[in-house]
Amino acid sequence: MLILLSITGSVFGQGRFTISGNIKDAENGEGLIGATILIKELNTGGVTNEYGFYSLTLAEGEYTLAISYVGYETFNRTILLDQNLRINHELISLSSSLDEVVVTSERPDANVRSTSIGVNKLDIREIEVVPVLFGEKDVIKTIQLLPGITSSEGGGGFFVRGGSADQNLILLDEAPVYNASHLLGFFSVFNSDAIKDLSIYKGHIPAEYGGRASSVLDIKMKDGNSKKFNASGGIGLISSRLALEAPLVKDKGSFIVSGRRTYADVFLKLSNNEDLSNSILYFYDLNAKANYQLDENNRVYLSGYFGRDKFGFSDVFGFDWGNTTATLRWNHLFNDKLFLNSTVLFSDYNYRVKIGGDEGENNGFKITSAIRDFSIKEDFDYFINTSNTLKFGANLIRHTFVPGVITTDLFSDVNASELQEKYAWEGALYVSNDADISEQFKANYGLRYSYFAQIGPGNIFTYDENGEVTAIDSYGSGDIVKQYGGLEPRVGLTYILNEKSSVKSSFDRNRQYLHLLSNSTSGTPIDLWIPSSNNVKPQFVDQYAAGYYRNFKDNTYESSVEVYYKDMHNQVDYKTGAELIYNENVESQLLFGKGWSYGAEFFLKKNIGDLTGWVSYTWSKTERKFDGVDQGQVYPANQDRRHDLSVVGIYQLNPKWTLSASFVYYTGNAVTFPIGKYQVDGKVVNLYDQRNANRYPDYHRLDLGATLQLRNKANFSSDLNFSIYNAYARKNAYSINFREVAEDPTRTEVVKLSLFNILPSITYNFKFK
Amino acid sequence: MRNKLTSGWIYGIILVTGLASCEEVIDLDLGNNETGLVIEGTITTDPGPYTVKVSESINYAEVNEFPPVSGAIVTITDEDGIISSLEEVEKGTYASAAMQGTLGKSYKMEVNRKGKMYQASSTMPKTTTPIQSLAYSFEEESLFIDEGYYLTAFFTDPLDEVNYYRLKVFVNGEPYYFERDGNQIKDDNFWLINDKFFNGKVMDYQFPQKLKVGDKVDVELHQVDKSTYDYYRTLVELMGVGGVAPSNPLTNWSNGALGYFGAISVTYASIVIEGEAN
Repeated sequence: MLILLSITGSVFGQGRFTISGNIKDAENGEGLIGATILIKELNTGGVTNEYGFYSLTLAEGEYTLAISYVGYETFNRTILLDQNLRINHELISLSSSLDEVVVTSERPDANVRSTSIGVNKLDIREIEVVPVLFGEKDVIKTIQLLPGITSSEGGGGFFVRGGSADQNLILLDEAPVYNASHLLGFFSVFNSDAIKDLSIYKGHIPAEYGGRASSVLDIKMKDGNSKKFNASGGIGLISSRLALEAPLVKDKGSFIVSGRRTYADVFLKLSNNEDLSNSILYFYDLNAKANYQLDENNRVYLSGYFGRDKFGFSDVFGFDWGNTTATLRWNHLFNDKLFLNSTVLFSDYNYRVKIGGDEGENNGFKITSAIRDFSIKEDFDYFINTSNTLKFGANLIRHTFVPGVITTDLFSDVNASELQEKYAWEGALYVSNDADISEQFKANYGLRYSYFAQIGPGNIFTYDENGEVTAIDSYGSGDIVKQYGGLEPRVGLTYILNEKSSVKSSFDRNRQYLHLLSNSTSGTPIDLWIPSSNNVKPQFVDQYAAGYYRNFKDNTYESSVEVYYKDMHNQVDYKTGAELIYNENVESQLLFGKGWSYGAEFFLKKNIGDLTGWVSYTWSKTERKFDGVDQGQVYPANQDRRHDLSVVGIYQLNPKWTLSASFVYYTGNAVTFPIGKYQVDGKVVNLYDQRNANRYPDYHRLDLGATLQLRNKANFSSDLNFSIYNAYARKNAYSINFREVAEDPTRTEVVKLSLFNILPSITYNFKFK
Repeated sequence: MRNKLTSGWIYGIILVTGLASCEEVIDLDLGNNETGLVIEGTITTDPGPYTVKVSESINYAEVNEFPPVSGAIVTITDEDGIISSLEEVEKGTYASAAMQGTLGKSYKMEVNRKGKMYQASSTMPKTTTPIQSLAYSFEEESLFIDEGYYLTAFFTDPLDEVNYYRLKVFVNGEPYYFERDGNQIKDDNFWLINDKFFNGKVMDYQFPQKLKVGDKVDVELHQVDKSTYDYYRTLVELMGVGGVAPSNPLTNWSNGALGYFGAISVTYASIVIEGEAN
C-alpha cells in the first residue's frame, strides 16, 4: 500500500532533525487538538493531533517557532535545531470575556488552507450559547444548524447530505454510539460538560474512519484538569449537571466525572393525579475519564459512558434503554516521528420492555434486545516531514446482535422465546497521507480496505423475492455464512488561490455493513440494527464534492460554497405491511434499491467581534428508486429537503450580558398523504397512492437566548442562561393526521399536531476552579 | 403484544408532549384523480346467503357517501369447481344462493365489472375454535381504564397449527361506543390476535369496553387465514398511526381492487353482566 503514496519532499535528507512535543492548555492541562506550530522562516509548519502531539522534521538551522491556537496567546520561541528537540508547551487562554465569543478553535484561515472538504468543527463554547429546547445545550441539535445537516423536530436522528439516519457514524472517544437519543429524540446523549471537541465529516471522510456511508461525527471527551481540582455544574428546568475534575498526579494524570439527570418525574410525583404521580420518566448520563502519563513516551486513557432512559407506569409498563461505552487507549511514541494509539473498546446498546405482572394479570413478560461490539484498533501517525503526515492502521470489530428475547413470569400465558442471536466480524486496513505537494497544492489521499463476515452459530434462512423461506442452513460457531469486502478510496484536494481563497474537491467511497430498521422517520429506541447477511447486501455510497472557500477582512469572515453529488447503493426500505418488531424473518420484510442526492451549501461565518455567528443555506434533492415501491418509479426520500436555512447570531452586549438567537427555515419533509377514502366493514379507510408525493408545511422557528454573567472571580464563576424556544409561537406540524370528525361521523378532517409554543427556560451554571 | 408495545410508546409521547402540544384542524389540498374499486366479501361456517359489497372510493374532502357499483357479475367458486353466481339485491350489494362454507376448503371469488376481472382466494381454517368461557371483573379507575366491568374471553389455541383470530363484541346487540374527549367513537371491532407468542396456550383476551350491570354482551370469535389476517392487520395499522410510508392494506384482490375476500370460521358466546364479579 505504501507504493500508492507519493511522498513529496526529501525524506532521507542529510542533517535533518525533529522537533516534537505536546501542546496543552496552561489552565487545565487539556491537550489542544489542532493547535498550529508555525516555522516563521519557512512559512510552513504542522498541527497537533487529537492527543495534542506534534512533530516537525526540518533541516538543521535556527528557527522561530510560533505556537498558536485561537483564543490563546501565541507563543514565540527561537530555537537552534542541531539535534532532535522535545518542546512541550502550555498555551495561556486569553481573558474569559473574550473566549466566550471566540467561535473557532483552529488557526483563523484553517478553512481555506486545510485539505478538509465538507467538514465542520464546533467549539463547545459555541454550543453553550446557542439557545435550545429547555435550555439543554446539545451538540446534536447545534450541528443541525450547519449546512447539509438536517433533522425533524422531536426526531433523534439527523440526516447528512441526503443520507439516512443510520448512515452516520457517531463516535464517543472512538466508541460507536448506536442510539444517540434521549427522551424520544428531544435530547441527545452527549452531555456537553464532558465534551472537549467535535468534528463532523460530511464530505471528505479521512481513511481512518469507516463503517457508515454518509458521515462521521467524532466526539472527544475532556481529559480532566491535571492542574487542580475543578467543579462545574448547572441547574436547569428539566435537568441538573455536575462535573468534577482533578489531577491524579499533578501534570501527569487527571480524571473527570460528569453526570446529568432529568427530573420530570420529580414533578410528576407532586401531582395529585395518581396516574401521573405513578409515572416514571427520566434519563441520566454518566461520563468518566482518566488519563495518566507513564513517561515521556507513554500515556494511557480510560474513558466510559453510561446513560439510560426510563419511563413507565407503576408496575404495569416499564421501558428503559441506553448505551454503554468503554474505551482504553495507550499512546506510545516509538520515536519523535512515529506516534501510535492502541485502543480496546466496547459499546452496547440495549432496551428492555416490561409489561404486566401486577396482581390479577398473569401475562407479565419482558422483551430485551441489544447490539454489542468489542473492538481493537491500532492507529499510527508518522510525521515524515513538514510536507507529509502519514496515517495508517487497522481495526477489528466483533459484533453481536440480540434481536429479541422474551422472558416471562412463572404463570404467564405468553410463551418464553428467543430470536436467534447474530454474529459478525468487521475489519479494516487503511493508509492515508496529508501532503503539501507544493505551496499551493495540498492533498489528503488514502485507501481503506474493509471486510465483513456474517458468522455462525445459527440457522441461516434464505428467502426468495416474495419473502418465502427457500432454504435453512445450519452453521457452527465461527463458520462463515457470508463475507463481503472492498476498497474505499478517499481523496481530498485543495488548491490555494491566494492568502484568502482556495478551491477544493473530493471523491470518497464509504461502505456500510450494518443497517437500522425503524418504524418511524425520526428513530425510536426499539429500532433494530441488523448485519449484512446472505439476504442483505452492504450499502455503499460514492460522493463527489467540490467547493470554493474565501475569507474576508483578515479572517473576520469565512465563507464557503460546496456542491456535492452522492450515489447510494443497496439502500433499504420496507415492504407494505412489513413486520419489523420481533420477527425471526425480518430480512424477508425488506426491499432493496438505490438512492441519490445532490445539493449546494452556502456558509458565511463571522468569527471575531462583539457580534459573531453564521448563516447557512442548503439547496438539495434526495431521491430513491426501488423495484418494490410504486413499480420502480422514482420517489423523494423522507429526508428530501429543497431549502434549509439557519441563521445564528451571538452578541456580546457588555461584559455581563451575551445575547443569542437562532432562526431556522426548511421545506417540510416528504410524506404520503391519502388521495381519497373508501369504506370497508363499515369503516372509512384512507386511500393511498404514490410514496412521499406530499409535503409537510414549511417549518420555521426562532429561538432566543441570553446569558448573564453573575460572578467571574479567580476561583468561582457563575451565570444565568435564559432561553425562549419558538419565540413567535409558530405552529409547526409535528404530525398531520386524517380522521373522522368525532361529532359527525359522516365527515373526515385533517388535523395538525404541533409542539412547544413559546417555551421559556432558565438554567443556572457555576464553576469552582 | 405488538399493540401493547405501540400503545406504551404512544403513551410516552403523550406524556412528553401532552403539556406543550396543540391540535388544530387544517385545510390541505390533497387533490384526486383516480377512484379505486372496493370489493368486500366473506364466506363463513354459518349458513348463507353471503353478501358482497362493491363500491368506489371518493375524494378525501367529500362527505362519507360511497357510490355503490351496480351491474357487476360476481361468482364464488369452491375448490371442487362448483360455481355459484351472486345476484344484485340492492345497488352494489350482491347475495349468494343458500350455501355454507366448509372447514378446510378454498374458495375463489371473481368480480367482472365492465369486462375487467378481479379475483381473490381464501381458505377456510381447518378448525373452529370454541369460546370456552366469558368472564368479567370489576376494575377500579387507573391510567388506562375507567372504573367499571370488563370482559375477558377464554379459548384454547390449537398447538400444531398457526392461527389467526379476530374478535367482535356487541353490547346489547349494537357495536360499542368508546368515549374519547367527550365524543362517541364507534368500536370498529378489529380485535386481532395471532398465536405467535401464545401457541397452544389458553388465551385470555381482555376487552377494553367498559360495561355496566345488565349489559348483554355477544362475542364472536373469527378464525381466518393468513391473507385475511394480513389485510386486517395492515388495515388497523393504517387506521392507527400509519407508519413512515402509509400504503393501502395488503389485499388478496388482483388487478388493484381494494377490500378483501375472507373465508372465516366463526364461534359465538354471550354473557349478561350481573353485578357480582365472578
